[in-house]
Amino acid sequence: MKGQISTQIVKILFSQDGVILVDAPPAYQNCVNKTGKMLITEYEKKSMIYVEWKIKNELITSETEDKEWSLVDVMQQESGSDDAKDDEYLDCLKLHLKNIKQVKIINPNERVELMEVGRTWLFDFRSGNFSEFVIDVTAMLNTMKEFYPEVAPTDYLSSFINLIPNFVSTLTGIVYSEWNPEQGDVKRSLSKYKREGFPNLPQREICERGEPLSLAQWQSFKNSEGKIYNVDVLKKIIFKGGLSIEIRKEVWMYLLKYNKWEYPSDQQEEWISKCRDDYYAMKSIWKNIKPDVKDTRFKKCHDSVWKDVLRTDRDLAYYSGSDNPNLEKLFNILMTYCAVYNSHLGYVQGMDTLLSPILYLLDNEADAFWCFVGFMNRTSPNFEKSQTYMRMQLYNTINLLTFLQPEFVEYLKKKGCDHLGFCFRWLLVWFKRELSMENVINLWEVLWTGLPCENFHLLICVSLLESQQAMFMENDYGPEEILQHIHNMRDTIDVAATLNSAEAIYNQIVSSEYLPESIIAALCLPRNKFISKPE
Amino acid sequence: MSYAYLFKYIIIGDTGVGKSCLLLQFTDKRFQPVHDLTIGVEFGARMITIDGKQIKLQIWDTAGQEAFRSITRSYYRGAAGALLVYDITRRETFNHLTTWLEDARQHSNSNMVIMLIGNKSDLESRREVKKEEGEAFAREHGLVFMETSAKTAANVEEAFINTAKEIYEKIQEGVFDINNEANGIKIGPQHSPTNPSLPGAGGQGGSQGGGCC
Repeated sequence: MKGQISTQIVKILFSQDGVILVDAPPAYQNCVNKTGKMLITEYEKKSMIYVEWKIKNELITSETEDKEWSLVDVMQQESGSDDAKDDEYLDCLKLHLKNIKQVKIINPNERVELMEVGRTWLFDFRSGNFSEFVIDVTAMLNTMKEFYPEVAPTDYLSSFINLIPNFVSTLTGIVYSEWNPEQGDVKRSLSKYKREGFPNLPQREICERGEPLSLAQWQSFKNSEGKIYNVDVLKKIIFKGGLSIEIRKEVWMYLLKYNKWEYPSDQQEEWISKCRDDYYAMKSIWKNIKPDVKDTRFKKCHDSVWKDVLRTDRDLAYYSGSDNPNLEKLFNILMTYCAVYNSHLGYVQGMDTLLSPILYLLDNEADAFWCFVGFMNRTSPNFEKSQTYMRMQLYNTINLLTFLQPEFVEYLKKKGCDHLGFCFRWLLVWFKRELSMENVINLWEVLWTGLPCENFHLLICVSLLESQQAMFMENDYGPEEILQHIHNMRDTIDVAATLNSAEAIYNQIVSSEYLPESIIAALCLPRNKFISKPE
Repeated sequence: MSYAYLFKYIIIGDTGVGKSCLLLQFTDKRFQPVHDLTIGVEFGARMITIDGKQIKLQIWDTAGQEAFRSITRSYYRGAAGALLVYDITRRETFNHLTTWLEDARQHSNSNMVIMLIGNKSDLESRREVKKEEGEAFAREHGLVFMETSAKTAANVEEAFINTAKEIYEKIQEGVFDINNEANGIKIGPQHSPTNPSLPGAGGQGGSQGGGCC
């Protein structure tokens, strides 16, 4: 039934050496404990994607001949695959993605199990790229349903995820599992599958916003030396009500970890003064690069930052007009960050969007720089080239939504939208594009408290999606309508109502009898406080 | 509104070459000199007429920066047409065409019609890429070529419509399997596959009236 498999690799989608085959079916025992290279390859058509493991530099033999798995002999290797020149590795295992039934992380950071019917393969990633591999394979298995309709969507229930730069590191368990078509009716089977292991959620209690932190309150948290005490209580007030205008500048500098809660006033002043000097020193580094020695990387950064500065919030009086000095400030901060402070990451679009409200509010170049650094310390993984962290956040969001609104997720799956690609912009720039400046300020200062959990911004996503659920489903929206609708939500979002609803969702989740691993991981909840499985 | 066909397009190319402006000019007939940069993807749609038939163009406009390539790639899939755009006043955007083309060909279906567009033709005094160079590149890679100006609207209609004409011709020739939505073509709700005036699915004889939904 299968077509002729070409030996021409069209594309190598993933490649990592230093991967050890730890365990394999009997016929492959002679390859066990050997080091090799793991590849994900694509042949001719997108439907021909393979996970391949090539053994390092020694000839192997096997008596096995299998339709799906085959030990490709050395002749074939020599007669023209793209890798022919690369005789450091020899073809060994080749598994059609279609046949992978389950992907399971056995040991975080390193060991993964790939399962097909009756066969299991264990691999250790000794030279890194483990999470990349797991994410890539899982993502491809997800998209495969387009080519193989008999393959069910990913089990979002099972614990994929986990977060923060070393996301997969603390995770073990099944990350992909195929639906078994033998089980009958697709829809029934899917919903049964999803609910399995989920507790009944308690009633959602209504939450209400509090009053913003006032100047008098703020002063009462300072001792005679100017140190801030009871920071936890203070943050709770900010979480519930935000900040009043007159103290906003000052408190933002604390929330973004520029000012230090524990410093007395004189030490704070000293620190700020030192930071400002540091900023100007860094700024002078790139300012002094002579035009003739400007390397291409620098020039590229310079040009793309300037191009984007010219299209950042220009409808706002603070940035409007052609000779506006604030454009220069925006540019200087981005250049200092991208060309000097974090040149490894460089400039990525969206950073300008995150900086704009900070500069607008602080209206001081050096202070805005350090506050931007504080914000970027939290959000810089959003801008990594692999986009892994962005994908993880989308995964986490769909997991949360599956936990809370399974029928909505089922609808999104039916429409091919369960990747939540339409939430990309929300997450990349923390809803900046969807809100007015005033609203974004109100939202961000609440999110910066880190309360009530690390990834509360995902619950903002969930809350916004829930608010649109009826609209999508009643109008039978598909991917295009959903994207358009989401992008047209600007200025229609009620920040206070969204925060109330997100807080209510959080309370509902944490008062659940127990929580699935995926939810604990998605929100970065303290593991010891939440039982992940019923006894 | 009813349509005979729906074609899905994607607009790709370096950041700042005018992808969003081309889309806006085509869908809204206006030019916005200061435009928010595109984060992720944007979307636009417009109805056109070819050969007396209403055709809906559904256009996905992508972020150009390299960091987002892995995300925007997923939108290549299921596109019938692509506008590959460069800026005639910036040589490097022309130099990157090969990479874009490779990426597009790898992640799209092989029949996708690609239109090469040299945008900002109104900025003649700042031109860095000759028209002949664009033509030569297009010829070498089997693309259709056009210089446009999203600002003056010159050739913008033509770029989108000529791409649609190519796709339409391919349908007539039976190159596209119109019953497979992965090709970026959809038959309108009022035009079921049993309509005898429409060409059958290439090489898929006998599969008449494949369930409507």
